[in-house]
Amino acid sequence: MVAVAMTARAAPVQEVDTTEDELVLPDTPWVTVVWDDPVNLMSYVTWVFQKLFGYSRDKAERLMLDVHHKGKAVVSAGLRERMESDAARLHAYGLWATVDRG
Amino acid sequence: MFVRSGGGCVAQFEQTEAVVIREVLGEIIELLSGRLDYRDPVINRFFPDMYVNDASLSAEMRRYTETDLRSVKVEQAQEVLDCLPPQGGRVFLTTEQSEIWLRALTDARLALGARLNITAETNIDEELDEAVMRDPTSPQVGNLSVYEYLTFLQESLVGVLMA
Repeated sequence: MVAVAMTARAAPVQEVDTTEDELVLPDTPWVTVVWDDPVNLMSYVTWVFQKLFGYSRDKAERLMLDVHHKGKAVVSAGLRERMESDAARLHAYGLWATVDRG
Repeated sequence: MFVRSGGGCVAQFEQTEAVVIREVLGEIIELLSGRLDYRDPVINRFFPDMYVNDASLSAEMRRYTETDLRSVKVEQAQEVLDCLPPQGGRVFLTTEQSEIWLRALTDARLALGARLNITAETNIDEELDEAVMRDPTSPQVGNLSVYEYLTFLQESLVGVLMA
């Protein structure tokens, strides 16, 4: 992913948010994975996660950073058909997403 | 670059900028209008595998999703062409239009990125400097410059939508 230093952005929130936002994967059978790519902007990826999944800015940013630093991250979990639909929506936004067993 | 304006945003485009944006998106529309060649790295990037280790399953998924995805990409590129006059000028976008432009600009950068073979190790500034030294008139200089411009343009648009 790419970062562009154009404007002053607020520093990331320091507090750890332990409420809503951990992706818990007990027995969820399938997951959608987003892979890092060298073209997409970090800010854009964050925006897509907020837009498509309704995640908070913090959660979306953390997921994006996971993708960026680890090469990939699970962005949603659930039934297979739903994951395929999520992946297809992510493709429509130019992200590289795949479906895998959870 | 895009800045907030009322409920949407606005940007001023020079003629040269309008021309290159329209050219890249026009090429994308053309690429998506014919038979899709999956050996083309741009097509490959636009329609990636859904199952990493299963080519035939991915191909099956692609058969389901290809038509819709192709239409969406053509429509969003067309939206930009409809909004952006060839001579440039001031362009106002609603929030909805901004989101469409954002996806179209993503496609434009993905297409150029595929053509330029951009990887995680690529440093655009260095590539541009080297390309200019080799041959300032080369298509690579043009493509790299456009890619860099679209990167800043897209960043400004995301900035407006995230504010």
